[in-house]
Amino acid sequence: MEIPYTIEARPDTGLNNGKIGMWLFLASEVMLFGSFFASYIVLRVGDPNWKSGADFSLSVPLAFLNTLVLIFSSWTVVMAWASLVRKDFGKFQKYMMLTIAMGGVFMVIKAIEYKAKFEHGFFPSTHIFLAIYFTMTGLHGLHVLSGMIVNSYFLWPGSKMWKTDPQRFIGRIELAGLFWHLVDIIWIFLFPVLYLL
Amino acid sequence: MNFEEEAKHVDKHVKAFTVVLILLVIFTGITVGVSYLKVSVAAGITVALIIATIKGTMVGAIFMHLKGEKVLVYYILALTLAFFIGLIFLPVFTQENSVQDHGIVAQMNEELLLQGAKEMPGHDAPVH
Repeated sequence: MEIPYTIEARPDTGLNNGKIGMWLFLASEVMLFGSFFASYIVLRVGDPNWKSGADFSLSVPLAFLNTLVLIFSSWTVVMAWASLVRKDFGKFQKYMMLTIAMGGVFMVIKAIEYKAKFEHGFFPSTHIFLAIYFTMTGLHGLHVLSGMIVNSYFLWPGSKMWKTDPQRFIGRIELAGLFWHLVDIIWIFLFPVLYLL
Repeated sequence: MNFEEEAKHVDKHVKAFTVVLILLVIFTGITVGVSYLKVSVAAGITVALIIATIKGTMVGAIFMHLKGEKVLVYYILALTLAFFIGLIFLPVFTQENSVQDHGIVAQMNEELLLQGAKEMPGHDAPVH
């Protein structure tokens, strides 16, 4: 027996199961990161002598580059979806490869930043700002890594579904893209909060 | 909208995706530029968060296809937003005074910095 509404929309909500499930999951992710932002606000307001990113030599140029990398990867992942809708599997593969590559570039830049911090003796235990910086960017980095793994699955072994059930595959790519866009949106807020303010 | 209908509209979507990409790059540049202006902390925070919200809205509306999405998704997001606002503001309204008055965070930071200076004799105490 096939599970209903995996591809076609439910008549009452107009959505299929995957889309409802993914939006509910994204809502939980918003609350997860929201709790860290709220903690940051309380901690920062609690110390009139709060030391921020500039005091710990956080690199604005590298973070700016990382922001551009993620923005570009958001574009490539949605273009991957659009390519599938246009039934161009070759372009889908190119755009998805670019998306994964951009995720890799982001992680490499993050690793360079972390290494520089550790070499300067800046660890999570050094200051509460650094504790929250490493926690938030570390958690965000794990999300980038998870997205890369999922996108890699859909690019290689999972792409067999394009031949057997193309509409379902397009739905899968759309949902994977939704997660990737949320990861981008979270960084859009993390960048100014941790690096610029 | 089913996939056949999507295929007819996707060309229009692709143009919108590219326009949003360009706008996101521009707004990111503006964010960094504004951070170098000599404004008050409150003004800096306000401007930075407004720009971030605009960028996030563009990603959500266009890249995530929220524009024209079904009503149930909007209900889910409205509920999330309500709880998110509560999450951000309740701790500030209820804890901020006591945390600041007791100087708990300030004291912890001073202790951490002193401890760091002791553990790394070759390094100056970070950041003054």
